[in-house]
Amino acid sequence: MILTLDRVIPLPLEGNTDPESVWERGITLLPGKNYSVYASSGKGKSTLMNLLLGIRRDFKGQYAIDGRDSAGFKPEDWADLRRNSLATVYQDLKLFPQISAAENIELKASLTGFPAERWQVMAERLGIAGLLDRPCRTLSMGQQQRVAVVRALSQPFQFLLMDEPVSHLDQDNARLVLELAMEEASAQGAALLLTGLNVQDTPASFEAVQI
Amino acid sequence: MKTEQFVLKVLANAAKKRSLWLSLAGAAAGLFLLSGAMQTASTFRGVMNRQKDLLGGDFLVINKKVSLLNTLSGKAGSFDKKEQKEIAGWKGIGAVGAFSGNRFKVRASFKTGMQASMPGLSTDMFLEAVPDAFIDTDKDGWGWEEGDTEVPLIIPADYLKLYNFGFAQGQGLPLIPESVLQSVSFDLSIYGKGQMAGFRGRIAGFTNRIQSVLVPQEFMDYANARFGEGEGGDPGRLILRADDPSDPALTQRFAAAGYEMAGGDRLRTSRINSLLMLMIAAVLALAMLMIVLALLGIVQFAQILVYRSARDLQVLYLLGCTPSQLAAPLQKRFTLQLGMAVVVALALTLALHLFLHFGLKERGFESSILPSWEAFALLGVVLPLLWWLLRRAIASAVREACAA
Repeated sequence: MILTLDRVIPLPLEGNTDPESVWERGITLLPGKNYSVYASSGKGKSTLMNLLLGIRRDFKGQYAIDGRDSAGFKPEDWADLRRNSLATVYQDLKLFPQISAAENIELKASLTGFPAERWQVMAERLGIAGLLDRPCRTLSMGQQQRVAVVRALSQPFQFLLMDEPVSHLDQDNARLVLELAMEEASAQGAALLLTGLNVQDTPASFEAVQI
Repeated sequence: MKTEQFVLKVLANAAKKRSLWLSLAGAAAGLFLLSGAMQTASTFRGVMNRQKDLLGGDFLVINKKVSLLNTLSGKAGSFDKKEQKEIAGWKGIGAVGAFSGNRFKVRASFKTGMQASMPGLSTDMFLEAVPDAFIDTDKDGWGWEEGDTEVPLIIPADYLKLYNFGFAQGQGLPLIPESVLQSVSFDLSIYGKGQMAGFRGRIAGFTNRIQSVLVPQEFMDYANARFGEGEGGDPGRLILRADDPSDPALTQRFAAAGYEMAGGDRLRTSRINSLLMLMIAAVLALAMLMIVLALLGIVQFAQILVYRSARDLQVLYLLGCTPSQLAAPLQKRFTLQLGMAVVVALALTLALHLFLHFGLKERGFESSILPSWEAFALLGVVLPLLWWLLRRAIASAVREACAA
């Protein structure tokens, strides 16, 4: 799967974009590669994520998926993409606080037919296996972040989009999350695109995307 | 956890149930009013039809209003051939028959002494005939052939009542039951063209329908040919067979044409009929209004439910649920609840039907034991419409919530 942004400019940023930015230069995101998005705060990192996921449609230019202009996509098309091709960790996590961590993951797994044993192994690796029965609202932000990562990985995907996935994690846990994400992405031959890493923390294999 | 269960769990916490139950009760009441009104209309129509059948035919007698103008013109309100043909062509009119009158003199006399209890009596009278097809009295003994000395007559039942309760009581004379009068015969003398003939008159029956003294058409034709003087003109009265004599439209049409309809009961039935239909139409309109209001209530409840859980629905959409997948559990739940309202409405309609059936039976009216198919047909038409509107409203609310 190839994602192409062709002079896509979000309407709120119109007339205020850097000529070197991804908005002005455009970008083609290819499978199997890792991307790290850099930007100063308020320059539109989350906007880029939301745009790639079809949540924001207020932009000029063309966003194409496999050559098809996304402007013509229906809600059903986006739902299908999110179930089968675009795995996501949202900045605000979007977990349901009233149900348990396990139920949050199961919700996704039941949609995608993802086997429970596989996500349980991932939860184990991220050190949250013992917390799964607790309602999400009782977990710390760092724990919730890891639940959101396991949930995002509980599906087939060709792009793994992670918006600040390690912002609440200590270095060890951040490393665990990154390792798991890269492993799963490469196992599926998928691309990984994440935001929120410092340049010095970013593994060498990552291509920089400047906003 | 399955998506469907979760959607319901999310929505269950989103709104107070009381307003929904009120709306559903409104829907049930509206649906009941709708089918109940239909059931009532059909029951009463059924009762009226059965009653007409008991009277053995749907006859009407009409005449033109007697006014000063047509009295002076001498053409006192007769129906010419063209008018007869025109009336026969009206909607709801099956057959038209003309009254033919006697153009000879008739004298009836009871001989004193022959019937000890009867006073000697002799009177000039008139006779009329209508085609046999219109006679509603028991036809045994009706009819006449040339050579018969006995002539059957049908007289208005009111004549006997007039004698019994008006004349006889005041004069100290004995009351005469119908059966006695039917066994009495009297002399019927006919004069004309310088000739005279005597027959025996016999009362063959009584009628409530025709205010006249009727003899068989064959006798009238024979007597007019032999004793009649002058030409037979157009008939002053017509007898009609109508599909539904109490049809208000027919009554109005007669009135508009300046015709009078004999028989006050007909007019009364017609008025009751049209009043009843008007009331039922009003109830149907009220029922539709209630259903629309109830539907608005239910739709609004569903929308509030969706909007209050919009955030959760949106997250589910972002996880990969399609809008229709999200709307489905809600649609299913509301369909079920609408179904409950329908069951309540049906049960009430059935109860109403049984109440009417047995209530009418107690008062001596026959009605069908089966409930009206029209009531159910009406529900059958209205329900899919409601179901479709509700589904659509929920689907569009969910779609909106997802897109927000």
